[in-house]
Amino acid sequence: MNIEEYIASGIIERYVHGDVSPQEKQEVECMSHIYPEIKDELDMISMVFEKMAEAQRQPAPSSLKADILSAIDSVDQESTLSIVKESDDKRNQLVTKENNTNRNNWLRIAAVALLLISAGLTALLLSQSGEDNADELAETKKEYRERMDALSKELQDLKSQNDTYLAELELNKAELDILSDPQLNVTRMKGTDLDPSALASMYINPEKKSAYIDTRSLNKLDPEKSYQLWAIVDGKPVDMGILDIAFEQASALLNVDFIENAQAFAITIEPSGGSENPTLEQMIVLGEV
Amino acid sequence: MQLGDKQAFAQIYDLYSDALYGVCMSILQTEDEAKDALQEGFVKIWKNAPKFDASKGRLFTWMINIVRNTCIDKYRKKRKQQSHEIQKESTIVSNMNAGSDSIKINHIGIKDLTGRLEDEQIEIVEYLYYKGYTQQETADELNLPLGTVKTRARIAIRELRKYFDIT
Repeated sequence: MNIEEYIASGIIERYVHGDVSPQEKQEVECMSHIYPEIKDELDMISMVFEKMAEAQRQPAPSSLKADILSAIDSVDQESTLSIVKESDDKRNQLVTKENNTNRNNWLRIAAVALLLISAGLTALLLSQSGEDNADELAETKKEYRERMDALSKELQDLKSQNDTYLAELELNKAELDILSDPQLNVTRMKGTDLDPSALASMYINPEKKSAYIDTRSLNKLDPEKSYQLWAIVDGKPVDMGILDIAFEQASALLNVDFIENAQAFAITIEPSGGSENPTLEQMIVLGEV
Repeated sequence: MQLGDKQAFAQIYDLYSDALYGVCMSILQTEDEAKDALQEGFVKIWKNAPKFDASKGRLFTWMINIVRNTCIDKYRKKRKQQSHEIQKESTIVSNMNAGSDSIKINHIGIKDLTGRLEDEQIEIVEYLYYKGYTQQETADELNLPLGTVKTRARIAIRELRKYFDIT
């Protein structure tokens, strides 16, 4: 976009003098947000405008101030109350509503901004088409298109980022549901000599006959190895299966088989695919129920 | 002021009322009309204050435009009434012209500019800054192409910027 040309078109002077259509007004506001040079020009022209008004200064009749102050007593400010009320309501929403609503809100704002910009640029293109020659127009068009593309991409990125957040949020909510159940029994599994810092937790809900394990603190294994979960029932290890841990995910609560009457749980490091019997020297965590 | 603070409004009045009254006088030429317009303008400023958005522009510029528009509306209404009285719609424009021709620009601001600006630029400044004309109205009034008015307006702004020492 040729900023110098845009400034030279005189649209900013007309904007400052209130001599623009609503569409042009929106366009200048939009452009001055995007381009600091245009904002500077806008400020400079406004200052000249203000200085010229000051140059016309004449003492206002002294009775006028009291007249005006009493006149505004009977005049309500437009939408002041509703603005204040609305922002209060919004603040309450922030507290009470789910986070995803907020994220959707700013996503919506970004989308609206993009729409406005595109409307402004289209208007600009239309308004300039009469004045500019074909070459300049094509060049300007190309620059606008590039800018639009960049903005579209930005919006796409925001959208996919938002999707990620939403998915994470869903997971967290599901976890919270599981963990906040009052029937839940928790078994802490502590690190063995193999890795004293290792830690895992079993969450068992006997009512719902469901079991989950939190393996967040376990390190990622080489591809040829797997974590395998064991329950100790009547002193004997029972295979509870390979733990399919998605290390990249924020959530690490894994659904595992429910087992009754377990006295203890343990995790061992086994060759990929698991073993029939636990390799005891490769036991990394152990916890008694 | 945006939150309905009357004290803030009174302060703003003290700061800007003389300049805005001058603007009214430049357009309307009579004290009674200027007084009415300034009062009407300030009521609008009060009413619309919550809508003012500082990220979009400067407060004083916004206020000048509200007051100017009030004056221009009044001016047009008056001319229209007069032309109705003499039953001649076609004289609106020439009446406006006749009225504006008689405006005497005798403010210090403009006088000081005579050394700086060409006469033709001073003329443009008179119309755009003192009489509240749009660029198109100025072009029509002076019988100039719109492009010429734009160019002169830009040169004038450049000179005024230097004159007011705005960097």
